[in-house]
Amino acid sequence: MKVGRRAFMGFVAGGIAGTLLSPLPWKLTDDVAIWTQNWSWRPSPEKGHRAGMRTLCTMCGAACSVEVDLINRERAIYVRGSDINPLNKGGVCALGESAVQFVYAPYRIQQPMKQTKQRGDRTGFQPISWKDALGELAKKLNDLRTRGNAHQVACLTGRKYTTTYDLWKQFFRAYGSPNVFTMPHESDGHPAVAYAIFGTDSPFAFDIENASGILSFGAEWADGWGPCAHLGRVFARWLEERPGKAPTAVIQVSSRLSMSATKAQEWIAVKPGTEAALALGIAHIIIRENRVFQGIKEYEGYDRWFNFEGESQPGFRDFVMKEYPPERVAGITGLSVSKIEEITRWLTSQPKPLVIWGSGGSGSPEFFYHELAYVALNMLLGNFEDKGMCSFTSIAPRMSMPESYVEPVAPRLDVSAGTSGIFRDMINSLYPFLNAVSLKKGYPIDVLFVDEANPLYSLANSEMVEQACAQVKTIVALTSFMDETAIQADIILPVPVMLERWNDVSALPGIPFTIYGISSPVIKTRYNLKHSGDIILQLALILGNPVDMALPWKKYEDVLKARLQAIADTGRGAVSDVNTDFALLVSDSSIRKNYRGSSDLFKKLKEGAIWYDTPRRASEFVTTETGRPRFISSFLEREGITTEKLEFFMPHFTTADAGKNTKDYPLLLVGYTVSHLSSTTLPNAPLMMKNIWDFNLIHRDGFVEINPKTALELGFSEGSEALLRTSHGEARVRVHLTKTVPPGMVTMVKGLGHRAYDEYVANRGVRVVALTEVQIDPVTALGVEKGTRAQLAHV
Amino acid sequence: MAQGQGKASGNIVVVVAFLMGFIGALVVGWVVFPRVLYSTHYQPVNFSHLTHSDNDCDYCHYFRSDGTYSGIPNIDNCRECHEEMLGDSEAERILVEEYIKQNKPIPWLVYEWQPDNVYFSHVPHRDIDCVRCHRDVSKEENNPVVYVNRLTGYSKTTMKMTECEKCHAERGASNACQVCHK
Repeated sequence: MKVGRRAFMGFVAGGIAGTLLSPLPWKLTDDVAIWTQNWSWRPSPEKGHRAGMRTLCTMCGAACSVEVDLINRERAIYVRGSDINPLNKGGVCALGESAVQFVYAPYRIQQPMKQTKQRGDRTGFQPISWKDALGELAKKLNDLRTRGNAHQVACLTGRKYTTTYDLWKQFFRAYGSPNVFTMPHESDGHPAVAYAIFGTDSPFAFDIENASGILSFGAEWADGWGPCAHLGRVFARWLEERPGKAPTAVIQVSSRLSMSATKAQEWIAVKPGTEAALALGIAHIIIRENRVFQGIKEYEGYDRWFNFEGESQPGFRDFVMKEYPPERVAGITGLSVSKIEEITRWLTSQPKPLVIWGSGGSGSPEFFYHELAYVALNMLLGNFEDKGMCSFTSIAPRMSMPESYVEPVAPRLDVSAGTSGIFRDMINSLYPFLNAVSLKKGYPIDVLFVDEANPLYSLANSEMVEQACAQVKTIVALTSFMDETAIQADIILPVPVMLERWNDVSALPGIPFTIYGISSPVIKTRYNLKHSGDIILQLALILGNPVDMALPWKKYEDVLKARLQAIADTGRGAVSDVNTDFALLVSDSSIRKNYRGSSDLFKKLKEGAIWYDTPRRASEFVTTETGRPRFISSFLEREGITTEKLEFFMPHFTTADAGKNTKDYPLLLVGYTVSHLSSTTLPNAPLMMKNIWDFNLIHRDGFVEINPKTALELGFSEGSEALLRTSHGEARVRVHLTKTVPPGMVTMVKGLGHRAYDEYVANRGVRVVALTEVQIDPVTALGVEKGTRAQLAHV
Repeated sequence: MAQGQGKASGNIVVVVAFLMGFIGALVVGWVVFPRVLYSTHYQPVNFSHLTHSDNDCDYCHYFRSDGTYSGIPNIDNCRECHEEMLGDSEAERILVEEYIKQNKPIPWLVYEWQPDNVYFSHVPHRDIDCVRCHRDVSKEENNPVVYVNRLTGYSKTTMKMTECEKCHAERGASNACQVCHK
């Protein structure tokens, strides 16, 4: 049979008919559409087994336990709070929740780099091996030491309460330099105040979980004053009402209607920067109405006291009664006398009253005399007695380190240059140090290690900080990211991020419990990185005696194990679990030890739990001659403050000097931090950028917030463009009208306006600290951010 | 006459050719094509749901505190009972020696893995019977073979969008795009 053209056509027609009646064309069409979902360049989450691992979050040092979800135990995809830690109890802040995004961020540094062109030129960074990088650094350090200039090496770290900071201190002690600083913190002034009154240099701590009524002077507890997730949980507890426990009332004193003020029972709006005057006015009424703690008369300096010449001087009681009558305080603060009396009676009627204070959101320390006022108010309430609400921050037991101290050739630079405060190097006076470097006072700084800090972004007085960095011969940045400071560095040593590394938290300033936690790596380090601790140990090894003798560990993990051994050796404390409740923990609580030894402790802490111990009584910290707190510090007199002007010995209110030129700069600019944005070392992760209100940032435009009355006077409307000017510079902004800001004030959120990282972070909004200045406290020499005179001009 | 016979014969040839093409295409479309399209995979360990029927389902498949669902239990679940061998089956030997003792997660193959552009959460569907979407495993001794589409990479049993839409429509749930495609 011959198959002709017609038969072939019939075969094809049959084939087509059969194909159409089969699933082939339809299924294939559908599958091809789905296949396009799997093109290799389309971002797709890794598939595989999903399992969780616990660890401690150290993104911000608040010691939250977290669970990290991993795919195939390699790829981190999700971070959530764990409930085995009573501090956060399942909560986690925006930074912790974004931890995964930092691991896979495109701006991570992948290997050591060296600047080969002019400083600040991003194209000049060339890869360098670890051996060469550390070798070159060790050679510089060795040369300086040989020439007797070891003191010309400095370190600035972003974290204080970690063993890495202890290693830096030990390294510098053995090397022969006193120049170790940390980035500014709200509690930086506490050691000075605590030393003056109590003879201890520990930061204050507060029993905020058990207070029945809290009077907060600018302590923005909902926006970064203290550990964020912990305070979120404490806030929920304040609201609880059950038999025997009424809701905790909070009164927030601040000039701006902050997040803390909105969550408080009452917001007391005072004139900007006058919170301390109100504290002293309240002290006056407490004394006048004899509502003071009855043991107060035993405190030195409450009644009359004697100076070095043996002359009788008026005490705190007489000083406050004379200087701060409610009528005067009403004039300073803008409140009525009856309101001040009402607040006082509310405070003293509380069974467990507590006074807390802070920076009003700027994140900087407070003035020395203002902090004295808040502490004095707590003393009048008996809060530093054994059942009181105030104590001091305890640091977890440390391992003993070999004594390899080399006397520095010169004291710390700010002390040498005469720019430090009267407490000298007890205080972390970073701004005077940088000022001395910038003005070439004292001696030069040849090498500056910047460990996980970004001073060129987060410090105010930008010109001075930039000038100081320009004077340093070699800047070594230990960082995970190409941030503003890394760009200006000469050598970059990349360090792993949180989920890839060991780390620890040894204390929480403001929290009375002793805690210790370690963060263990849950995924492998992605690039060619070394932990800061390992860098210190390896540099010590290359430098040789006595530095290597001072740091006898091979790797950072061994250092943490040594610290755990020291903790285990005390035989104290316990490991947290889901039932641990810090509110039930008081100084005379007995804790059942639930770990066997250091190995067991290591195993348990590696899985995200924390070690804790009972809070220590305030009296255990007091080392004054009388063993009691005092209102008058002989230390101040010894340092040359004379009793001619009594207020120099007393808590008193000082007006913040924001600049005299109120004609050209009629407004007061205040930058403030919020808990959902990072304004210090780390940038904002994509998740955080999504959470920004559209009245803080739209596209690339940052906003200033002003009162509608101010806007009316200046002719601005919602969203209009403006030029924000201060004596430090100007920035183009948009205007947001809000009654949360008092007339005459202009506020801006901190954490925006980066010049580094990627296109989603850089050049978005305004870096407010580029326009603001710090005022140097005359006693502590700490940089205080209170406000800067500014003007808003039409574009 | 001869011309008429030749024409009839030619028609038969065309019909036969048509039928050959038709049947051949049907065979290719219904039999050959699926065999070519899907690759065959077996689970790394045979898990008998029947053997474990004494346990409640939520012993292994439960909602975590954050709302995610333990569709594929963690190896720690297995370890609770199988730290050591309980029986003598080959499947249990593999489980204990190759996974539990080595603390290695079992690379289970998923029958219903949804595409990445689908946001599916079990929590809002918790009141619906499992078997509305999943096979009934209560009497299952052996895990079924997993057929993976070579073109798409998804399992043959991955539920299609029409099923979701149908059920949403029946129950009055929204069928708006953003409900499932975030």
